[in-house]
Amino acid sequence: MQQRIQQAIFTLLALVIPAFALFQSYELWQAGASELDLANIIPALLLTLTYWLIGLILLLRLFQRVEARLLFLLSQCIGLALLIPLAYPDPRHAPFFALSVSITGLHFSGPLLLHLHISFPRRLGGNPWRRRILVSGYILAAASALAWWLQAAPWWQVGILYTVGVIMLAVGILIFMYYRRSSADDRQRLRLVVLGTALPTSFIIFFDMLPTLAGFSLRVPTWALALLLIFNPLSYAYAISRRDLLGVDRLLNRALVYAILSIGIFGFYLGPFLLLYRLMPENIGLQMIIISGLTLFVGWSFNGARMRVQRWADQIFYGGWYDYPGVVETVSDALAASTERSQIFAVLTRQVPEMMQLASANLWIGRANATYPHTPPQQERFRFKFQSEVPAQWTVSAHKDGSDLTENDHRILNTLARQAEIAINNMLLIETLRTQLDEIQISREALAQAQRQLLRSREDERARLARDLHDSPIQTLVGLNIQLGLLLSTSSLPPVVGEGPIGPRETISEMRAEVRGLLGELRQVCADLRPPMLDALGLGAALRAHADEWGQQNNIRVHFDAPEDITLSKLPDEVAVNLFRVAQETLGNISKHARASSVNIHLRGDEHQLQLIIHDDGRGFSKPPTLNGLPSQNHFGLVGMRERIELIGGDWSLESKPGEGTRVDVAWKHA
Amino acid sequence: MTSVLIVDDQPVFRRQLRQLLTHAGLEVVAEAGDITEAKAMVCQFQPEIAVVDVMLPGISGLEGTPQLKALAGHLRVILVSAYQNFEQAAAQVGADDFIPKDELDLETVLLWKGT
Repeated sequence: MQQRIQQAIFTLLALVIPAFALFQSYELWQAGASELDLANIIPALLLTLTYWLIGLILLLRLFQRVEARLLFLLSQCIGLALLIPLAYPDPRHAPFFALSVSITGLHFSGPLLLHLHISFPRRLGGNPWRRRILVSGYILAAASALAWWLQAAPWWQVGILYTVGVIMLAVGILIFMYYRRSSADDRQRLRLVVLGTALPTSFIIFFDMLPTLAGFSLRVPTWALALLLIFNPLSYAYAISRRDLLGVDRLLNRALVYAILSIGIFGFYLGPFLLLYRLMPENIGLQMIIISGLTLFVGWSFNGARMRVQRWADQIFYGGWYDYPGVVETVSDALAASTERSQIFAVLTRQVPEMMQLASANLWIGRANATYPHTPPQQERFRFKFQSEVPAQWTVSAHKDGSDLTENDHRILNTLARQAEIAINNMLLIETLRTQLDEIQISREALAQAQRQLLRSREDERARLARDLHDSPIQTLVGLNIQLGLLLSTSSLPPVVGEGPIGPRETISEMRAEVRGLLGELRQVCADLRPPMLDALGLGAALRAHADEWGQQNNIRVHFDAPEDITLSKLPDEVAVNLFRVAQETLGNISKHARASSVNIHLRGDEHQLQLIIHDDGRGFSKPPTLNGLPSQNHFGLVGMRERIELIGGDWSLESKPGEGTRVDVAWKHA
Repeated sequence: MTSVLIVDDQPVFRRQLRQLLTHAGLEVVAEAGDITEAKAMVCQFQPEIAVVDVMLPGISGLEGTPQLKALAGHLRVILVSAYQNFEQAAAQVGADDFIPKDELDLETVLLWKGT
C-alpha cells in the first residue's frame, strides 16, 4: 500500500515539469513573447527535459533504490530551477509565479544533493546524525522557499545564500568521498559524475547566481550556461551507460537494440507492405506472395540481425568497459558446454581476456603431482587441484589500458574461477574415462586379433598335417597296398593245405587287409583335418558331400537347397574353410542336441557374396540374450562359430525357440 | 600294347603304379608331375590311357581332365585319389573312371587292357 502511494506521488511529480513547461509555453505564446528569443528558450527547454528524462529513466528502472528516487527528485528540482532563469534573458522580468516555482526547485535541490551524497556512493555518518542534518536541511529549504514566495527581505536573499552553501557542501562531500572513501570501482564510476557535478555547479554559482544576487548586470549568456549545465545530467547518463552505475545500462542497451530492430522491421516489412498496398491495391494474390516472402525473410534474418545489432550496441556501451552480468553469463555457458581441453583453453585464455579487456590470461594444466609454475607478482592467480594430484593454474593480468583489476573484476574472476574449476574437473574426468575406454578397446581388439590368429594358425596347422599325412604315410600305405597286391598275384606262393600253419599267401592277404584298414582310418583323420573336397571341388561340393554323408550317418533327412552348378571353388581359402567349419559345427550340434528329423541347408551366392542358412525342425532352445556368458559355462560352439564368421568379416546370427527348431544364418560379402 | 601316361606329383606312387601296370602288361609311355607337363606328354606320346591323381599341385585332376581330353579325343582318363567319394565329380568332368588308390590292384588294371 505504502509503495503504491509512493508510486502515485512520484508519478505526479514526474508530471510537474512537462505540465509546467507546457503551461509556461502557452502563457508565453498568449503574451506574444516578444522579448523572448529562440536562443534562450530552446537551450532552457532542452536542458530541463534532459534532466527530467534521466530522472524518469532512473525512477522507472530502479524504483526500489533510495539513490534512484533521490536522483529523480534532484533532477526534477534542478530541471525546474533552471527553466525560468534560463528561458528569460533577464529573470527579473519573468512572471512571479513561474520564477517562484523555479526558485522553489532551486531551494530543494540543495538538501536533495546533500542527501544524495551522504548516501551514495558510500553512506556517511550514523543514523541520528544524518537524520538531524537532513531534517534541518529540508526545513531550512522550505523556509527559504517560503521567504521567497512572501518576498520577505532580506530573508529570501539569505535563503538563496543558504541554498548555495548547501550545494557547495554537497559537492564538497562528493569530492571528499571520491578521493578518500571510494574503491577503485567507485572511482571509475564516479570520475565523470564528480566532474559533471562540480564543474557546472561551481560555474553557475560563481558566474551567475552570486553576481545576480549582488546586482551585477553582466551575466554569462544562457546558451553557454546551458551548454555547461547539460554536462551534468549527461555525465550521469554516461556513467550509467558506460560505467554500470546503478545497473541501468542493460535496460538502455536492450532498449536501443530493440528500437533499432523495430525500425529495421518497419523498414524491411511494413514499408514495402504499405508501398505495395498503395501501388497495387487490386492484386491481392501478388500481395500475398510478396508479403509471405517478406515474412519469411524477416523471420529468417531476425536472429542474425538481432545478434549483429546487439554486438554493435555492446560495442557502443561496453567498448572501453564490459558488461559484468554478460561476462558471467556468457563465460558460464561456454564453460558448461566445454568438455575438451582446447575448448576450456579457448574460453579462459581468449574469451575472458577479450570480454574483460584484460591484457592476457594463461591456463596451465600439469601432469599428476607436478609443481605449479612461477607466477609474475602482478598477475591474479587461481590454483586448482583435481583428484588430489593433478594441478591447474589460471593467471590473468591487469587491463589492456594498464589499469588495475577492480573489486568487481576480482569478484567476477572469482566466480569464473569456480566455474572453471568445475569445468576442468569434468574435462579431466572425461579424459580419464576416454583413456580407460580406449585402453579397453585396444585390449579387446588385441584379444580379438589373438583369437583370430589362433583360429587361423589352427586351421593352417590342420591343413599342413592333412597334407603331410596325405603325402607321406598315406602314399606309403597306397604303395604297400599295390606291392602286396602284386605279390599276391604272383603264382609262386604256395597255397595252404589242410589245417597246418598259415601260409605266406594268407599272411600277405591279411597284411593287405590291415594296410587297407589303416589307410581308411588315416583317410578319415585327414578328411576331418581338412576336407579334401574343399580343395578339389570348392565349398559348394564339399558342403553337399558333407551334408549327404552326415544325413546318412545320423539318419536325418537333409534338403540341400543350392543351385546344381554352385562350386564356389574361387572363394578365398579362409572364407571357404571357416564357412565349412560353421556348417560342420551346426550339423554336429543338430545331431547332438536337436533331435531333428529334417534339416534344410540353403546356400546361395558367388565368390563375392553368399548366404548360408541351416534350419532344423528339432526341439530348439531358449537363446540367452547374449552369447558372451557361454564360454564361462564351457559352451564354446556358438561363440566359436560367431568368431569364425567375424574373422572373415561376415555376419552370423542364431534364432531358436523351444519347440520351434533352430536357424543359423550366415551372410558374407567380399570386403 | 595299351599305352599309359601316369600323372601324379608323388614319384614313389608313380614308380609303384608303373610296376603294377607293367606287370599287368600295359606300357607306361610317360610320367608327369602336373597337368601342364601331362599335356605336353599327351601331345608327344599320344597315350591311350592317362591315370591322373585328383589332388595335383596347381590345376587339379578334375580341372585337368577336360583339358587333356581336348588334346586327344581318344584318350581315356582315369582319375585316382587317396581319398574316396570323387565318383560323381569325376563323371561330371568327363573322366572315364574314378578309382580310390587303395583299390588299385592287378584285377582292376587288367580291365583297362585292350578296352
